[in-house]
Order: sequence, then C-alpha cells, then structure tokens
Amino acid sequence: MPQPPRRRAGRSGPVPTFRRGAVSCLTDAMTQSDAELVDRARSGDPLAFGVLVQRHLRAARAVALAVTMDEADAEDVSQDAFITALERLEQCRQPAAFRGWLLTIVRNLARNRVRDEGRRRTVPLEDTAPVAAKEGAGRRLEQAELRDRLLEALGELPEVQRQVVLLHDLEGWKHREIGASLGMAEGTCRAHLSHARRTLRARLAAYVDEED
Amino acid sequence: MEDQRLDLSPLAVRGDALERLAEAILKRAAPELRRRAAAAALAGALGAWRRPVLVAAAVVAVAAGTVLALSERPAAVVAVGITSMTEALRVPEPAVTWLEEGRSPTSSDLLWATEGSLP
Repeated sequence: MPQPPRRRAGRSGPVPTFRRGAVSCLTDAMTQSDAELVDRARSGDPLAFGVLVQRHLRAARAVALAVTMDEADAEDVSQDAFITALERLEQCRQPAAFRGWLLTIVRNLARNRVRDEGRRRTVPLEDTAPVAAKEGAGRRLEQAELRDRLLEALGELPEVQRQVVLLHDLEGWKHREIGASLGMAEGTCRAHLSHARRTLRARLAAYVDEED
Repeated sequence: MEDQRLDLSPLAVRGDALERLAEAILKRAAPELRRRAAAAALAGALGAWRRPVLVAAAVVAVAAGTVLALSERPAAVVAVGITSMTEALRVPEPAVTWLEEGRSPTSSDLLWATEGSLP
C-alpha cells in the first residue's frame, strides 16, 4: 500500500502573516503568557499563534522524538500537533496550561503514528543531500553516527523515561515542569531520569568498548 | 557522576531546521487562522450592534406600553332593545305564553301558532 507523501518543513516561502506587524507587537506578544496568547490565537491572531509555536516547538519535537524515535516522524508529528491544537483550541479549558495540553496531543499523535506505521528508521533529508564542501563532512558523519547511537540507546528505555530524559537533558526543563506536563510527581520524575541516565551511560559505554 | 546531565545535543534540532519547521506549521495554520479571524470579526460586529439594538427595542416597548395605557378602552357591547331572555333567545311568541302559563300547548294552540306564523 503506497504511503502518502510526508510533509516536511520546506523553504516554500515565508509566512507573511507571521512577519507582518511592528516589532513592538512581536515584542509584546513574546512577553505575553500562554493564556493570553491562546486567547488571541482563538481569534485568529497569527502573531500570537506564531509565538506559541516558537515557544513550544522544541519541547513538542522532543516529546515526539521520545515516542517515535525517528527525527523525521518527530517533525511531522510536531507539525500535526500544532495544527490539531489550533483546530481544537476551544477544547483547551486551561489556557495557562497550554503546554501540557499540547504535549498530550503530541504524545497521542506520535503513538498513533508508531502504531499505524511502525517504527521506521529514516535518514533525514539533509543527511542524504550531497555535501558541497568537504570541510566539515567528517564532523557531520560523526554527528550523524553519534545521533544514531543515542537514538538506539534511547530505544532501550521505556517511553516515559525517554520523554523525561529528553525534556530534562536536551531541553533543560525542571523536574517540576516535566512532572506537571507528563502528569507525574516530581520524585517520580527524578527516579525516571536517574534510571534513564544510568541505562544510557551503560549502553553508550558498551558502544565505546565495542569500538575499542 | 550518575546524576550528571547527559550531552544529548546531537539529537537537538538545528536553529535553521527549527525555523523551517515553524514556518511550515504557520503556513499550514494560515487558513484556520484566517477562518478564526473572520469569525471573530463577525462576532465583533454583531457584538457592537447588540447594544444599540437592545436599546432601540426597549424604547419601542416602552412607547408601545405607554400608547396602550393611555388609549381609551372600547365601549362595552350593550344589547339594545332586548328586554327578556326569551327575546334574546328568539323564542316564538306563542311559545312564550305557554312557558309563562306553565302548560303544554294544545292542538288548537299549535294550529294557531302554525297558521299565525304562516305568511
């Protein structure tokens, strides 16, 4: 059965609606709370929605990556999650807790994708593109290899631990924030993180030993 | 050592990739945002007219009430020329006599009444 083409973030032109407006408007929006931005986005304010995207995209991608274990899938899921969130913005009963609500959408969409399509290991487009300059190519390969190994090691962890370790060690979230977003106690979050780190260190050390 | 942060930076999305991703999301979101803006504008326009319309309706209601209160009541319908129940019920005159006398009509009464009513 042919798979539908995957949407990718392309350079198909700027989004004028996001760039429109004075700098002061953007600065004003950047300082607004999620609740205020959600309220404005409900009225179709592209600037407010743009700020919400900028503010939470990294976390959305991290959670999507933790579930799908595939960078391309994580990007697709992140896109879909923001669009779904926009379409269902009236269902966000606590606009101040928009981030947690969004991440729930991300998790659900990511799980659906994993369930429907199965895990796929695809190489992001930028890695398949010909490298114009030789300088730095070695480093890119090294980075790609490291990324693959990290993903492989993360794959050994339960989904919840992957989310915790990515949000904490990659995105720099606090335990309190992770706990609130994932619906768990701070202590549970700490325990998950500790376990995840221990497993990852052991797994990555094994790689080093294999190379030696 | 165990609780030290892991360097997961190879998994981080690069700045330009993040920017492209954000642009792609906003591009996909544009139709929905336009729909919402249009709906909000319509709701705003209706909201702006709601107050004047309510005020106008209240003025009309008060004016109508005042007119009704001040206008004269229609005269009561009075039956003219009717002095008794039998007249009102249009009971034939011979039958009225029988009723007043409290008797049943005889055959001659009936004949008289019939002939009397004939042209």
